[in-house]
Amino acid sequence: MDNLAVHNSFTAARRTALRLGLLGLLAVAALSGLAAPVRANSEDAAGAFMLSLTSRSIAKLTNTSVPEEERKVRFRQLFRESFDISAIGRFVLGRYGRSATKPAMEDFLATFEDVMVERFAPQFAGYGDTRFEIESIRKLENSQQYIVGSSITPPDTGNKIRIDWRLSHNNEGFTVLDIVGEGVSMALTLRAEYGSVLKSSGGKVDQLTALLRERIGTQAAAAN
Amino acid sequence: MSSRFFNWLNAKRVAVLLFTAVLAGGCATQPDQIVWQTGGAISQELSLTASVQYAQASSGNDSDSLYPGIDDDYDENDPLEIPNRFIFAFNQTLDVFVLKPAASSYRFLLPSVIRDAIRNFLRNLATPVVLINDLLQGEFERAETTLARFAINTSGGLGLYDFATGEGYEYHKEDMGQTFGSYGIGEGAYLVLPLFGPSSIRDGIGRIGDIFLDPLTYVGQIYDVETELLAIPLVNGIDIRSRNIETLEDLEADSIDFYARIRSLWRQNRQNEIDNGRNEKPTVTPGLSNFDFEIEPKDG
Repeated sequence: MDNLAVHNSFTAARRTALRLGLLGLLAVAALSGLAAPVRANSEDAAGAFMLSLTSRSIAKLTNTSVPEEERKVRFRQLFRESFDISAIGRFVLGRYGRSATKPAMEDFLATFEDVMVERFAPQFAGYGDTRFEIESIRKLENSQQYIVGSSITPPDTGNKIRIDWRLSHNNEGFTVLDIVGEGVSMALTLRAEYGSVLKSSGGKVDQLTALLRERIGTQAAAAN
Repeated sequence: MSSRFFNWLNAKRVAVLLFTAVLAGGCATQPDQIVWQTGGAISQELSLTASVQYAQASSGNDSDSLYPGIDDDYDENDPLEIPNRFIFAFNQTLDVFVLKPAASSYRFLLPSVIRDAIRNFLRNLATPVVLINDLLQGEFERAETTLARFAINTSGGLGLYDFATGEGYEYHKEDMGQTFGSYGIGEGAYLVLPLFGPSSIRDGIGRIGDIFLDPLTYVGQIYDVETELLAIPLVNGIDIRSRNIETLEDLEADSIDFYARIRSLWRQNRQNEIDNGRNEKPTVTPGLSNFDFEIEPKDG
């Protein structure tokens, strides 16, 4: 059932993922002995990561027959695997994160993850036909960060949306640090919003966490 | 992936909109601070794990930054925050009681073909302002696009249908605030205008400038139809709002400080408009970007 729907639904992403898999193999072969240009391969690997992430998202999250709770569980798993929640959480807290106690920080990060799950998981339903294309890949100088430029074409409007993915690379592979849609960064926007709340509450991360809890609590209640 | 998912980020809609009861698009921004190109040596900090020390307030102030240049000193350039928040609340009230209901009815009553025709017609009418600003920015290719669109759409169907996009001439918008921005003029300060919504000092001034650039202003004066011509920005505002009903609902749903969220979205979007979406100039990786199977060696 699941497989069938997946098979029917994503075409472009799947095809490119397959090709990418091939590319990945080539890249591995090249790295392990052929001494091919490493830099180009690392950029390709960033692209491979993105294609894998998007095709897995489409396969696991878009099927409308998946119950909402199950979709959230799957989204959370993908989110944990692929996003650097700790780095993003820390960034959105800005200066206030550095003075937070360890329990307060852990509490915030757990809540932040819940906020993301509640916010985004439900929105994947029924969007299997969305077209995803990688348009550019760039490694930032003096950094282990990559920017993967992509375009996303939802089936309903057909209007291309430009999305840049900011990735970080370490020994364990790639993680997503930020999603930038038409020049608007999610991390930066959240940092601005949370920063404004923190500023007016004397920088208490606990209070922000409580507010977010309350917000997703009411949101979840409203959805039912 | 889901379009609504990305709507959340999609400032194009977001910023244009909000409470812009009337005219579309405001102006403003600045982020000179958002220096995408400069990669910093910050990857180590990014792989922070739970084992890392949390309280280290004395350390360098952007040690936790994903973005070089976004540090503790980065702010939203909003010295007028108190009056701005007041006007924002006013606009929001107006939105709830007037604009949103009007936009919902508009969307409900008119089929999308008609609504698209109305939008195309209004965009076509606004050609002179866009064209002049294209030229003022030295964007000659974009000026050509604007001109071609006008010629094709006007002759093809009085501007009611957008034939030009199919011909490769896609719509874009320009205004004097963007022109100022392209000259390197900063936003001055963030500003929320009554009815028009998010803007800045620079873009508020640009908005006035655009009125003088618009031939319709003079047509209105000569034929004494200035009041009637107010229908143009009014319908434009309703049309834009009608295209953002769900986007804004989603945007507000999990917000804990909607004013701050909109301010940030609007300022980033404005910068993106000024840069004409070109603040990222990534090098295209051979092989991957066009999904060829070959990996071509990269120079350097």
